[in-house]
Amino acid sequence: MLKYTLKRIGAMVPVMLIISVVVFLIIYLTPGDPASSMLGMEASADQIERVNDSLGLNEPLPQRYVEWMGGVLTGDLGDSYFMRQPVTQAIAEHFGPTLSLALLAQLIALLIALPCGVVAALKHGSRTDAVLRVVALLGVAIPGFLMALMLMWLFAVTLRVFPVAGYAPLSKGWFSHLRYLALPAISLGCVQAALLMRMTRSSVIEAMQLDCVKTARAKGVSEVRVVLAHALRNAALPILTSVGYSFGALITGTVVTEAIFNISGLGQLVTSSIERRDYPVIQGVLLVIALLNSVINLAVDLAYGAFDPRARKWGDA
Amino acid sequence: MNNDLFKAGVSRRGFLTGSAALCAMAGLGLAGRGGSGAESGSAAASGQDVEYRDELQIALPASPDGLDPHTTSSLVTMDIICNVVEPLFGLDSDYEPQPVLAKGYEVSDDGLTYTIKLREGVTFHNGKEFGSEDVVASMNRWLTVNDRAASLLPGATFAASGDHEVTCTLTEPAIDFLIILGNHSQYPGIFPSEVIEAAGDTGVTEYVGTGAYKFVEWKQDQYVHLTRYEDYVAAHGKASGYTGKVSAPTKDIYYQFVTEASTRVSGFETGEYDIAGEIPTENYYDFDGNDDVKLYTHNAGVLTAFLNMNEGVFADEEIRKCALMAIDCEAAALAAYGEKELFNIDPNLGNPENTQWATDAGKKYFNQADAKAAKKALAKTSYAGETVKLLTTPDYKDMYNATVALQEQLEKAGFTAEVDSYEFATFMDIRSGKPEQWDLFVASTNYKPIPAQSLSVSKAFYGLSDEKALKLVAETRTAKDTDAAAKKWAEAQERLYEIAVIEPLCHYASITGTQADVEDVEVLDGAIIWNAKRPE
Repeated sequence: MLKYTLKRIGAMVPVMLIISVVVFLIIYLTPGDPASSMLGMEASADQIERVNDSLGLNEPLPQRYVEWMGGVLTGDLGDSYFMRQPVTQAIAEHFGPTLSLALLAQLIALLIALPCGVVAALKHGSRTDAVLRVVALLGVAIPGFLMALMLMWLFAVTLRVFPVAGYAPLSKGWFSHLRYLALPAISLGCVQAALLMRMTRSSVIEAMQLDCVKTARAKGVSEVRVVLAHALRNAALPILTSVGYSFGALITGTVVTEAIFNISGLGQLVTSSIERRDYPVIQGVLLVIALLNSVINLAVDLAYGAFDPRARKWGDA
Repeated sequence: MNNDLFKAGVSRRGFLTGSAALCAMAGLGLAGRGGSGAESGSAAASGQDVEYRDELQIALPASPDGLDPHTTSSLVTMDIICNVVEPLFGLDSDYEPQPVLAKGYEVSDDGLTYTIKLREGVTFHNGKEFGSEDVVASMNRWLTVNDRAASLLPGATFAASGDHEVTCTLTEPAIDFLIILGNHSQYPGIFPSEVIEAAGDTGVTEYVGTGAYKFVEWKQDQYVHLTRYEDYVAAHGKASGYTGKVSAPTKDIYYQFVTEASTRVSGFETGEYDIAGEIPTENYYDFDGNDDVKLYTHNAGVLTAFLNMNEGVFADEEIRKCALMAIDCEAAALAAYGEKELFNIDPNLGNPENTQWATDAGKKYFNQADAKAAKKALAKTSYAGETVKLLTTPDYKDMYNATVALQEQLEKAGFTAEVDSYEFATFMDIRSGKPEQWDLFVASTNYKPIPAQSLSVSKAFYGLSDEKALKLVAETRTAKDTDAAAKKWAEAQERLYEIAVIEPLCHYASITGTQADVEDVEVLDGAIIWNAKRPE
């Protein structure tokens, strides 16, 4: 298992290296420059040139890449052009809201998806199953931003139960923290729940056909135990994979939701940095996002072992 | 066009019932003053002890790119930092310079030396007493690092001539010297000398001034928190624009950065934000019948079509004249802003309400909207169907929509026109560095207090290369008095119309909203909140 883990971690190195080159090239080959954004509409060509020069943007591309990678390897992602702080600090400050939002959204998604998916599977072919499938389909079909706006309109603007926008850190108390995160987390969670529910349903239906389930039933094991201890456990691997992808998507894909609810997370950091052409921040955030995705995938793979002894065996091979 | 709406700050209901007209008729002047004044009066008239909130939440449409006012021209920065750091002079609500940290001044007969007396007994937020060494350090840095200051006052220097007196020596007379010093958009704020000395390439890092509010915290992309400076010594005189008495009745001010317009509007609607800047024009009528809010509209800037006189199709003056003949300003403005109440068609290249500089010179060339005549005239030029490239960006909806309207108008006049749309950074890149790739672009730009700063006369901005026009603009600054300067500006404006390089499509409004019970907000270039308060 250890060997397998180390091998997987080792495989992440070339992936990260390729990503770093691609990210660097995409950013620098995109038209526009930070000076134009910093100086605004009224900047002259001379002023723009001067600022670009002071930021080192007139140096050859390979030289800039080597300098940047040199910093990355020592944990220095450079300094933001706009925020006048190290990129690592900017990422650390923006990561908290995104992580909180992703965890809550994931929890909501699981609370909806697992029971509904199991029920739909057990009642498969029935009217309940049809209704749940339609609801899931709607969840997948409705764009996240629309869900966010609808929730905002209903619960914040009309009923005034939740705040319209903003973020309260945990230091301001659990209640305030959850109150601000509720609407964005529900809007994200519902979309993810729909995807997970479909996966749960089909996996459980498949697992219910397995011999072990038939054997358990033949032995007179209660139906609840059959579902929870046998069917769900056998259905866990694909569900777990989906949860992993879903969590990765939540960590890295909350751009629109963060913008709508004015949450200063990683998504908003990366969009505002792209608008401002704040190259060090874009590079740093994309690299961290890539790393997070790789780590989440690795964690999911390793978690397979906990559910399926065969996975542990493959890992040792 | 309803001019009352443009001038008065009123609640939507108030506007509908005519109280806006009353405010305007009462001569209360610029946006917001009418509304706030009336509100204050009603609170005072009630005779009850009114408890006010300790905190105001203000939603701004963008994050500042820095809080050092010397190195940025961002209005968001100025809106925030003017509460913390004060200048020597400020502009009142009539755009006239008035002393803030200065007590008075004298100017030499040759107009090259200004001796400025400073107020005494004023302290910085770090406890240090304000004096001439701070002014010299701050102003000389400003003259060096601020591009606008450096170009408007080249070679100027400040020196101490006493503990509370400084002398500024100019290399050439500038009748607009005090206006430049008082201009909100190139803010010469005074910091303690040690803060200036410690400022590196990235700018000032300690936001310490003499203002009514102290800087507490800047949470990137989230908010800036200010708190009242208890030892503040206010300037004398009635509050007016960026000058006069400041009372700081609210203890804590939070500037929240809410870039998503719909979120800003929703938060304002639900009362989470006491004040909201830049309410989108499309939301203006959403507040019809809403007694809970007041909207302030004011002329904020000008949407202008700039023509490339150096390269491409429009290098030929006769062809440019045909293009201008075809332009229908009202149609373009409607495309940009949607409602007639939210713009003003006027031939002024600057602020039509600026009494010193406003002129209609050249109006016979303005807003001709005659496609047929343009087509006829175009047939007599050397134009052979070349594509007119209209550069724009979808990031600024008003600019984009007006450009699309102009494309249609030019095509009606016989031009072949195409819209080249890029996101903002690329748009800027092409506009400033690749003049061969555009023939016309539309830009919305804020007003400048003096014509020499106007982008319509900027060589760097759109390549204006007409020597006569540039000379006339330069003469506005060296004229013997303000009347002579205004005359030169009128000639310059007429010249720009004659050579057909520019068309001010409309003067657009900016909308600031406050909750109806927020008192004593004044809106000039932005919301001035240092006297604002809201009952509990």
